[in-house]
Amino acid sequence: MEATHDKKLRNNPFFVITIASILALLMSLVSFLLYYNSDTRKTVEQLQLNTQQINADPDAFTPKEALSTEYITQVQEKVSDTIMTHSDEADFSAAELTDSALGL
Amino acid sequence: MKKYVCLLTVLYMCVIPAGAVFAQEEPQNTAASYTEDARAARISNLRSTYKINLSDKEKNIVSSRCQEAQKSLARIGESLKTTHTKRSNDYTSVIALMASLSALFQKEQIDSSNLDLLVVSYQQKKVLFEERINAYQTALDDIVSISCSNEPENFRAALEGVRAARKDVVAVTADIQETTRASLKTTFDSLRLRLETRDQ
Repeated sequence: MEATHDKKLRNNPFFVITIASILALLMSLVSFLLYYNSDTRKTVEQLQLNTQQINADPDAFTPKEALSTEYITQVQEKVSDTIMTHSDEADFSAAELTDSALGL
Repeated sequence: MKKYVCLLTVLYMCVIPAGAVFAQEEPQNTAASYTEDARAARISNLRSTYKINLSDKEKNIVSSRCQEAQKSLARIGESLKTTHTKRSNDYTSVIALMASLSALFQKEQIDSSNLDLLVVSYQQKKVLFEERINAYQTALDDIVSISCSNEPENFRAALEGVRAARKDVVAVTADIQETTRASLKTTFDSLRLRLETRDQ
C-alpha cells in the first residue's frame, strides 16, 4: 500500500515540480545572501558611489594638471612615498607595551 | 520512504547555510560610547578571554607598580591621537590623489578600472584602520581610567586588551603597505601603457 502511495506521488508532476521549485528557491536564496554579505558587494557599491561623486561634480575631482605619463608617475611616487615612509615600529611600538617597559 | 528521507536531508542541508548567512552580524563599533558600564563590560570580556587569574603575590606586584604604568600608557594614548590624525590625513590625501587621477582618465574616456579598484581597496582598508585605531584608543582609555591598585586583575586584562588592539592596528597598516608594494606599480604601469597606446 505504501509502495503504491509512493509510486503515485513520484508520478505526480505537480509534486515533483513543487519540490524542484522549493529546492531552486532555497539555492537562489542562499546564493543571494552569500553575495549580499560578501566583500564583492561592498566593493561594487563603493565603486558606484565613487563614480557618482565624480559625475556629480567632475571639476571638484579633476586636477589642474593635464593627463600625461609624467603626471601618472608623479602620482605614483607621491602615493608610494606617503605610504611607505610610515613606520609601524615607531608609531605603534610593541616594545613600549611590554611588562618591563611599563615597570610591571 | 528512503527517497523522502534523502529529499528531506537535501532540503535541510539547503536551509543550514541560509541560516548561517542570516546569522552573520555586522561588526560592532566598540568605540561607540564610552561609559563606565561599557568599560566594565569590555574588561569583563577580556578577563574571560585571557583567563586572568592572578596569585596574591602577583596582585600585590601589580597594585604597587600599576600607577606608573598607567602614566606611561596615558602618554602612549596622547601620542596615538597625533599618529591617528597624521595617518588618517595621509590615507585621505592618497585616496583623493588617485581618485582625481581616475577622474582625469574618465574625462579622457580611457579605461581606469584597475585604478578604481585600487582606490576602493584603499578606502576599505582606511575604514578598517579607523575602526581599529579607535578600538586601540578606547583600550588605552579603559586602562588609564581603572583604579588599578584596587583592581589588579582588571588592569592585567585591560593591558592584554591594549596589546591585542595594537596588533589589530598594525595588521591593517601592514596590509595597506603590502597593497602599495604589490599593486601600485602594476596598476600605474598599465595606466601609462593605456595612455601611450591612446596617444599613438
